[in-house]
Amino acid sequence: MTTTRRLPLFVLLFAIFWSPHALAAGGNDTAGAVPAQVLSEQGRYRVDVRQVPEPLPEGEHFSLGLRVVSMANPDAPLDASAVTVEAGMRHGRDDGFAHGMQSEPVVSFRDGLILVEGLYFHMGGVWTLQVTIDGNNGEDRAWLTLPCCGG
Amino acid sequence: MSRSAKGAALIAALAMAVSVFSQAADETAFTHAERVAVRALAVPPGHTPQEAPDPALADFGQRLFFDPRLSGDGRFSCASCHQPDRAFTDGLALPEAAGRGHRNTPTLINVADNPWFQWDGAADSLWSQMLLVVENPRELANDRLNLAHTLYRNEDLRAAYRRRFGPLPRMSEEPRFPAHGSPQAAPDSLEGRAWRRMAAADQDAVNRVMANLGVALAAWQRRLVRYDSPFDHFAAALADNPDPPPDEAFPAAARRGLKLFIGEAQCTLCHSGPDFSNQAFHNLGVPVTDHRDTGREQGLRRLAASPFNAAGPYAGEESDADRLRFLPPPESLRGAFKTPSLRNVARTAPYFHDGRFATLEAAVRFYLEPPEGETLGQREATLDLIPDLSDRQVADLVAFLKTLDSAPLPEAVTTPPERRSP
Repeated sequence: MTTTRRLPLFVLLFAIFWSPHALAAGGNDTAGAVPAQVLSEQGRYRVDVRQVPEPLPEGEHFSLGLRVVSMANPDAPLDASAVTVEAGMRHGRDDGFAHGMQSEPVVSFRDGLILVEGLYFHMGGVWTLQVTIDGNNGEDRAWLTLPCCGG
Repeated sequence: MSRSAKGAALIAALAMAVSVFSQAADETAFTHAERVAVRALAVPPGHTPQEAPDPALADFGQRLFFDPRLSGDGRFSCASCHQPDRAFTDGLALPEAAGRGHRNTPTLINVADNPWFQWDGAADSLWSQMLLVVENPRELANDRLNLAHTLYRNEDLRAAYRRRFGPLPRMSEEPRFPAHGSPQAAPDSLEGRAWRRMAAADQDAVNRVMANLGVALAAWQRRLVRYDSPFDHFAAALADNPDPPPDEAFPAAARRGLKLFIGEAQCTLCHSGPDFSNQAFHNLGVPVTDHRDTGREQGLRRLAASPFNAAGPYAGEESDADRLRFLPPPESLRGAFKTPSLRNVARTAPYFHDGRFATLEAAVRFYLEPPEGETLGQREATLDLIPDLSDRQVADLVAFLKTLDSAPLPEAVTTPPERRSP
């Protein structure tokens, strides 16, 4: 096939399938599912997501139930004293949040789970929960991706 | 030119024509994703205005709203700034009542279910926000003891109050109830000292009167609901048809503006939902004009200190006190103000919390060309997502915003009861 014959086919396909509405409405970060578990950055801890609303609500407080274990002793869940959390949106940033939440979550330990209450997402898109763990295996951070909110 | 080259040129021309046609259609037709985004802004099907549960209470609230006796000097009512024929705003950058206010007057239409009230969210309920206005020296400039005395002295008000809430405290017992006094007054002022000298039970009784007046005003404001703008009609048509027929009330420029609003311009990050507000507080990096106004920072402090908040003794059973457990540190929202609703926005100029922008175009251009100047707190990086827009795109956005005006509310809810047409 010559280049002359390929060109019009390409042009035709381009013209038919390209259009400005290929840009998604809303322009928000791509949504997905909440992961069932994540490893911390240095692999010291594992965070299991045991309780999560589906879908995550926008403009309402909600809670997460997490089980956090040290990879050195995965049968013994850590309690709330080892965990602090912070949530925000990156909006394309590699580091840090473009903005945080407008609530301050309360972390407690109930029935073997770390309960994070008072999460509140005021904007649609992908939020990130930073879980800082300072337990018997040293300090480490895990990142949970939390897509908001059903769409 | 060879046959194959002629064929290629013909197909390329056809392709160009298809492309041009496709782009023209894009200006009016909406993709599936765009229709989903528009649906999120539209009022859900079957939504009807939420009528106050107690019509007599709402009627009492309506009377109070227009009654200048609620102010300290009897010259101003709530309607002095929240004027019904201006979508319950005043057309001024900053309100003029007992003094010159320091924040733009917000509309009252569709506010009933807001989670926070005032630009800084200092009130967490519709009923309690009124109390901030009554005792603000720049607004109604009253004090709660004088207001309770006013109700007690005026038979019409006293009777209306009694019918709904029972008898007022015996305000005529002067030693128990001084003529003026408020915990909001300066501690060493006459009003401040008078309040502190009162018995706790009497303070509570006066606070209860204040709360009840707020409840009545809130009941009436639940009638100020309107979601019937040209945008709403277009959104309803769009639910059935990705390219609704032309509509004079929702012109092509508005369609293009809506596409920008939900897409490239990123407006729905904050102006989301049927009220076009995420009801959150954002620091836009607005240069400071009033250093005393730290926005949500002071709103959080005022809210926490108020006995009329949802966790206080005057809150009803329906109050959501649990959310007060999760309030952020006030300083984290220094310089942030509530996202205003864009409903009726063309009728509610000027814009921003300090009324600095006289026109919609100027308000839109703020996001494209942020002015320089001293700011408070941390400007939110979300604003960096907003792209440059052409003059035509700005005009399209403004054209869309002008389709968010609803028809006027019925006279029955926008006039003082005694002035209603028979």
